[in-house]
Amino acid sequence: MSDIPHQVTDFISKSAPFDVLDKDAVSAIATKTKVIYLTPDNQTSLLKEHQASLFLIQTGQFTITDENGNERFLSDGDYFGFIALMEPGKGQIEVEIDSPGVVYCIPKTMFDVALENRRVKKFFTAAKDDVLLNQAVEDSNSMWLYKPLHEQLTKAPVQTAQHTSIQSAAQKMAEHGVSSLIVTEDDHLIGIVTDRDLRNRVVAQGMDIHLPVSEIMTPRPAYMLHNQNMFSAIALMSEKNIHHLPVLHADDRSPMGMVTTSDVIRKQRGNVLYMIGELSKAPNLYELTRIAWQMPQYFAANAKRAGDFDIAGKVLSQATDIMTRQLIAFYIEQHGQPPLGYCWVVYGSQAREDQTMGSDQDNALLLAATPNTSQAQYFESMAEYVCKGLGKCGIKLCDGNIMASNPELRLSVDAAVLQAKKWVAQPTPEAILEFNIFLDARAVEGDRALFKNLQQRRKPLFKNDFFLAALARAANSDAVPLSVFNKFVYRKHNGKKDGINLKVNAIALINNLARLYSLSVGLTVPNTVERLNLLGQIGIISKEDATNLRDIWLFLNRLRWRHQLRNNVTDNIISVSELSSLEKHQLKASFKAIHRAQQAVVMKLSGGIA
Amino acid sequence: MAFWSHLRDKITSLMVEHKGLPDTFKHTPINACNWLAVDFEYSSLEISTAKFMSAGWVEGNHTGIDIQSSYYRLIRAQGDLAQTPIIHGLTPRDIARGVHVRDMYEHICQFATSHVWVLHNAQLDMGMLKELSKRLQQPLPTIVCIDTMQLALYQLHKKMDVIPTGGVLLSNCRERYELASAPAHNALSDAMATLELWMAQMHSLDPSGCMTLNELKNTGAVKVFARHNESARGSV
Repeated sequence: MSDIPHQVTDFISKSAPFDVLDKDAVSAIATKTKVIYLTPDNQTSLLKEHQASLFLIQTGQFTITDENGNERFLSDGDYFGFIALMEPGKGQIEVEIDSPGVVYCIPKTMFDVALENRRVKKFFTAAKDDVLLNQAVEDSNSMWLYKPLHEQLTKAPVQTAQHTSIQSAAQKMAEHGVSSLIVTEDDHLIGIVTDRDLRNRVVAQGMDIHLPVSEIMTPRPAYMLHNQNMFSAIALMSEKNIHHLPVLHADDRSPMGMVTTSDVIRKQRGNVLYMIGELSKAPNLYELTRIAWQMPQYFAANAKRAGDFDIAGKVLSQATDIMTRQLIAFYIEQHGQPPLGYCWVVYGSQAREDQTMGSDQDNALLLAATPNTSQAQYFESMAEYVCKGLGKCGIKLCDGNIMASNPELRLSVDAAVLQAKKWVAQPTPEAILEFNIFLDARAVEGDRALFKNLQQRRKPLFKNDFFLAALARAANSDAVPLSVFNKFVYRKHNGKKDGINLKVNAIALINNLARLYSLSVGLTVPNTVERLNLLGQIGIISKEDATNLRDIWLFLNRLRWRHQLRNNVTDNIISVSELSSLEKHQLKASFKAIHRAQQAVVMKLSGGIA
Repeated sequence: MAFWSHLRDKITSLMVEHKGLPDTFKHTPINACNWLAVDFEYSSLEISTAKFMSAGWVEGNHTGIDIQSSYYRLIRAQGDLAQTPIIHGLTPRDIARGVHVRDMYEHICQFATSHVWVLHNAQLDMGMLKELSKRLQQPLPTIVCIDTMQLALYQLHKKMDVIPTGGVLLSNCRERYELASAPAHNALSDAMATLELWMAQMHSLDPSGCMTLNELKNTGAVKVFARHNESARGSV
């Protein structure tokens, strides 16, 4: 039995990053630690006495002012003094005691020993540089799904012109060791040939190998653009049950490479995407709802690792997309082809691809023109069928009636543009609350050109300074749940006193920021992670801030999914006592970063008037 | 409260609390004192039969609490230990591995002249120690103590006429200073918790730390203990 008070080792071992150290290392630190009660009267002498120490606050509240006059308000679980220890000559601070309390002084000798641990060092280096510790996100086994395809293509495209003989094409495939070949006309994709085609269409049928390869190719294949991500590629491959997907450059549609199922299998260790393939195969409404109802259990059983949580929202949104497409297909089967061009558009979380188990459906129908009576009846009935069908599949009907079944949400493109003009003309706080959801939009089925047209025509409207300023002010009206002294501000929930609403008080705030900046430069992608990546690339916000916000978003989303799946609930209110010490630190750091980003957006788009 | 009065009377009958402070401590400002926070666990609260189960202490001074000075020993014991091992989570094997109570006694007595002892409910612990000294036929040196429980009573009486039940329990006293909750039923943990409490109490009583022990006597929290058949080594 060691001679160290239990509460001392307990406190140190539960304070990130020391929670990664083993018992002996913690005991060694604890033994050398001095515990002080820091007050305004003794602070000068005590801080001098322990100047070569890392200070870990157990109780009390302190204001730390750095060399540049920046103030930080610290309380339990926070550290100070580490910059001076890590960079001699730097990190001079002034401490003001707002409320006296117990502070652990860990001597430099022990701090240096602890820094030999990679994770401890990373923690304090991140804290020193005031960046979020995103180790959790880096460690994620799903980050590759978020990366654009062009970053993941390992080979240049293997392609051949359409007139090449089947034999030459096969020789080229053998030479490059690939199982598929892009067939081009004037360097543009017109088809693909796979090993399977050679087997089934050539060898099995004894076809002349001197015939042009275009005879056996699959014409007009599905493809992806180079700036889309791997997740979308996998979803498309699962939905269409294909194994090879050409990747084209977004600007000139020139071939850039090929994604194959074996690429995916190599990287994908878990398989929460399985659901997508199953939904796509459902032949009727009954089967579709049967599979859809298995989703919560499927998620709970399969989403175990952090990386699974990172893609859970995307998987769920893709699944909802597929259900929607399936329902529309069933409807068309029964009622015939649509009498007018249409596009099924989704909003909010489905558009952003961050749906959770508690998300309800938000959708609309965009029509090519104002429908006549019979056309209107067709779409009314379609909307009714699809929305109710989604409801049967477990995607809740929208309380706010943001559904295509609402006649106000079956507008022609012209009417939708007019509607957008009204929003821009009168962005009152009440109006913003109502139309905010429509600013994250995505086309799911039908004529996507209609949606594109709408987006192009809305784009310049949304760049209006007055409109953006009003949105910026609205985005700033919700605050992160952190007190001025860096303490969590809790709300009671389910008998627990330490609840924090991750959606309202954190995730939605980042969504707002990403949306605002995107509107200001006319970016139309709705996904928050993609928006942030793009905003960082084009320099609207610094790359560092963009990465930081993206990591925070993923981190918060991960906590939210874990909460929902572990507790089998659909709310977004996590209990802080269920978080690890490191997660608590990260959560605080996240909230602080969101708050800073909110202030920045107000400065930039609203002239500093919050 | 009847229980505590009864216990106090019993202890007081065996222990003389000296009014005078030894010269060495009389005019010492509190911020210049060395502190030894002490706590013991017993097999019962019946002084004549109670056995020491464990002892814990930790030193501190104006620069803080020195964790390296922590001491914790189980006391080797025989005979009926009633329910105590269960409360303290000790097994008979633990207890058999402990030190002899004499070794612990001799060790702690070395702090009598150099340190002011800090205890939560000093009457109980010092009464037990006194009884032990008799049993061991060892002299009990004069010991100057700060009783954090007495100080809490003094402070509460200034605010209210009736002290709520449990109002001066160590955990409740700490809560009033917003100190973190600490594990109970471990002598060293309690000693540490007591010393933190004392530091918070000191700050609320005399933020500058210039007050002397003598000046602190009016709170009733400064006590000097010695065996009744020995003379006090100092007086005010």
